[in-house]
Amino acid sequence: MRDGETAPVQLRLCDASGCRAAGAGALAAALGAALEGGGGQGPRPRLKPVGCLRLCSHGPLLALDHGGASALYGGLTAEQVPTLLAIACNHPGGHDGDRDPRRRALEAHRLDSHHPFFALQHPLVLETCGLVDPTDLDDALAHGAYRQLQRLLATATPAQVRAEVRRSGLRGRGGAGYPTGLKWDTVALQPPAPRLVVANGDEGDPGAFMDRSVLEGDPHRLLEGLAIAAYAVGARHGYIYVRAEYPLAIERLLRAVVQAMERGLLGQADPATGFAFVPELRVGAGAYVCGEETALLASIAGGRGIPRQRPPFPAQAGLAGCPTLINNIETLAALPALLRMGGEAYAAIGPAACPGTKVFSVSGSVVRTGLVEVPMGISLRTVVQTMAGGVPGGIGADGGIKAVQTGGPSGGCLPAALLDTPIDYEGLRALGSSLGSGGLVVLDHSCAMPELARHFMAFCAGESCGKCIPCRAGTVQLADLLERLMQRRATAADLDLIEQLAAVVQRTSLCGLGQTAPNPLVSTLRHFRHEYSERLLPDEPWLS
Amino acid sequence: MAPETPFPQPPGRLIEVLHQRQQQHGHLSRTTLAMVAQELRLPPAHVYGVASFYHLFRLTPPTPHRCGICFGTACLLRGAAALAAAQAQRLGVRLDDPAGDGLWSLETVSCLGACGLAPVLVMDGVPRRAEAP
Amino acid sequence: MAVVTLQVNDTTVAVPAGVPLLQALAAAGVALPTLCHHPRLSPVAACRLCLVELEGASRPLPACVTAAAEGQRLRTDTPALQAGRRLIVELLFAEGNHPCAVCVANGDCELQDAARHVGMDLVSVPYRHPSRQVDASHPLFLLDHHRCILCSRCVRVCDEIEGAHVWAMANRGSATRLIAGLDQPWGTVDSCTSCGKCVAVCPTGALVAREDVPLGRWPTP
Repeated sequence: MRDGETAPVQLRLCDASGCRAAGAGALAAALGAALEGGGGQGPRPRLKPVGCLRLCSHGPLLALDHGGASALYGGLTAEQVPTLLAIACNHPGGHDGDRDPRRRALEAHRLDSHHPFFALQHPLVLETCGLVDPTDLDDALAHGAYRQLQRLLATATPAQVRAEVRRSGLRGRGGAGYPTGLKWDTVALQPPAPRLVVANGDEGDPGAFMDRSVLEGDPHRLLEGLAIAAYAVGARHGYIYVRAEYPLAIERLLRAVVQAMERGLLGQADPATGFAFVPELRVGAGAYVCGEETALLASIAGGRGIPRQRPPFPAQAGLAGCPTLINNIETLAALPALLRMGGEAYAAIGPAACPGTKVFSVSGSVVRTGLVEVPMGISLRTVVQTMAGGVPGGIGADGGIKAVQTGGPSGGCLPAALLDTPIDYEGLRALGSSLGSGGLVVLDHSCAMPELARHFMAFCAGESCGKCIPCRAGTVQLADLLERLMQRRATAADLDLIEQLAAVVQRTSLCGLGQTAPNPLVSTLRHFRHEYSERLLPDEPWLS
Repeated sequence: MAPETPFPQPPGRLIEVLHQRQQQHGHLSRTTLAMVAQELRLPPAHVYGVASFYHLFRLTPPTPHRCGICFGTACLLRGAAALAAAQAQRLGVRLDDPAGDGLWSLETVSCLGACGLAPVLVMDGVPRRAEAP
Repeated sequence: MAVVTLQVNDTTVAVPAGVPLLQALAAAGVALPTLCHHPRLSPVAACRLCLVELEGASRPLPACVTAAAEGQRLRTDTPALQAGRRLIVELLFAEGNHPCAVCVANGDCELQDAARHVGMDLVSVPYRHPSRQVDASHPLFLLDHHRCILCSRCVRVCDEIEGAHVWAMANRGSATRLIAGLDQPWGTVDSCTSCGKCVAVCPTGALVAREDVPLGRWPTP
């Protein structure tokens, strides 16, 4: 590990918002004070704030790097700091089997790094997330940041970069799975005019926090990816749109932009190609619909986040009519590793139709919640059961799992019987769900599916922009009808109406929000219909 | 310092300006909105339309303290609704009533992406793990 | 100008290339209800009543913004389109308060025409009976929010033709409503020129001239 060479002993403390909420701040303060006060002999360990260390449920997380080895601790409090520092300073490698009760207490917090949750990860997007200090450009550079951008500027034409990305088979990680190389070509091959690139960081799906982790943990990786995309399509200006609910991500990203501009990594003309790229940050204001690309552009332009009918697609006419490339944060953050290993090597990971790795955020009723980056095509069971451990205390072959909700409000629920489904765009779509941006929420048997469908429908009704009628009025009617069903006041005729309405909203809505809003309902009706029918009012024969 | 303008018209700064004003004043009063409209040379109706579209812009003054309950999927599954009810009773306010009791208000917030710690509570802007009641 | 030929429900028509498909429908003698579309205003494709099925397209497309191209084959009358159109009109009737019998626009209302077109004989979704306002602050006109279907024609005509920018949509989703100025009484908005264009383009009885309203029914400001 590279870190081991520069700092023989270091403490990497997860300083992402998940661990902060779990008390990382107090732990950092205690560590800082103890290190300040000295004590112990040996070299003084260095305390380094880093991005997400993956296993959010066991936060605050702390990794102790000691001469090339690394130990991860979870749920530490200020009380354990002296013991931890004693280990760090005096007993290299002596983490196990000690008679000191305080050490035994500390050992109870140590996490098994060989557990499948860590062992099965294949970090590319997140390869330096958790290793680099997200506030320190020099540290990022030491970990290889901007190296691919500089190499490509020196050795490759934009067309060559696009060809490499086409070869990799990378598909957009925002949910639709559109081939990235094709999108880039569409923008690059428009008639001569200024072009723009936009990084979509409006990660609004409840249960999704992949993009947040990239922005908080490794902002320079995103900037490098965005600059590469800009070079490949001929853009000199770009926007990064981040939702306002992510203040730490905004702070880190803003600092990273300033650092990269000051250092001349961005913003200044490259001597060989004349390429200069200026990124600008735009902060949302709380509107889920702004994840839809035309609404996103309306919001960047300072207006209401109202989608418009496509075509024309933003790749043809986007911001101010310019061809505009919009890529998701994770897609862009995958580029540095992809271009380092080459398109062919990247395409060899995972299934041919849908190659590469994907970051998933696993939450809900599981033992281990957090972030995993795994090859596409891995089975749902491997992620939620083998890695995440299934439902706490869950028994049976499926580990107590009833279903897995994928894709947030635009996705659906897959029952435990389908856990062996390989995860990819088409596979999940064929089963009536969708991969979405990568949120996996595990449901146990206490979860009532119609209630979950009602929750998502109410969410979509609240987030509908109000422009087109099927979405504005249809989602509200559906949410009310589902509420009626939950109160056991709905009849079989109401259920018919629910299905008719759902089909019309899906088919006639203007944008993706409305078109997918009924998905959780439709998918739970498909796999759990009995939970709906058992809540209906009994037939009243005297009325018919 | 500014690079060559890449568009015929630089995109509007309205949302950024609204963020700034809300940070200064705590909320966006009608007077503030009128001033913003004048400064940016935008129709007042447009400014009001934008400010009222986004959930995070407040058109009425907030209470000094605010408690948010995340209603993301993971939090919902881990008892966000019961947590909200318990907080409402403890604080003596109604959920999503911005006026609250004058000191505290209780609101639902959209997913904060801290799903690993569900259910999540936001006290005056600081998210933390809550024990499910 | 290039001319293209295309098929509308088995009738072949010729129209200039790139014009909205609505023109091709007109050439074929097919009428579809449109509530947000207005020939003089920019299209928004919001009401979804002019959706047509285009061969090769994965989902129905609005005829008001889809460009005519050579060889297109489109259908306007499939069972799915008809069912969708009818349900959309029903959703509109259930969303606001539309008692035709007491409305000044009765008999001259595009929403009513749309209902007749889709054969609406009953509203299958529950009426929502929203509590809305009436703005009678303007000396010449009235705004009854109960009858507003949020088509945004008034917003567009005021922006694009009159240039007075009186109107906008506020809030979002089902809470969306039409506002004048900074959500103030219409009569107090200085930029209103009282031109009456918004009243002229309103498809329902939401924006009406006082003189059309039977005497005594509304207070004068």
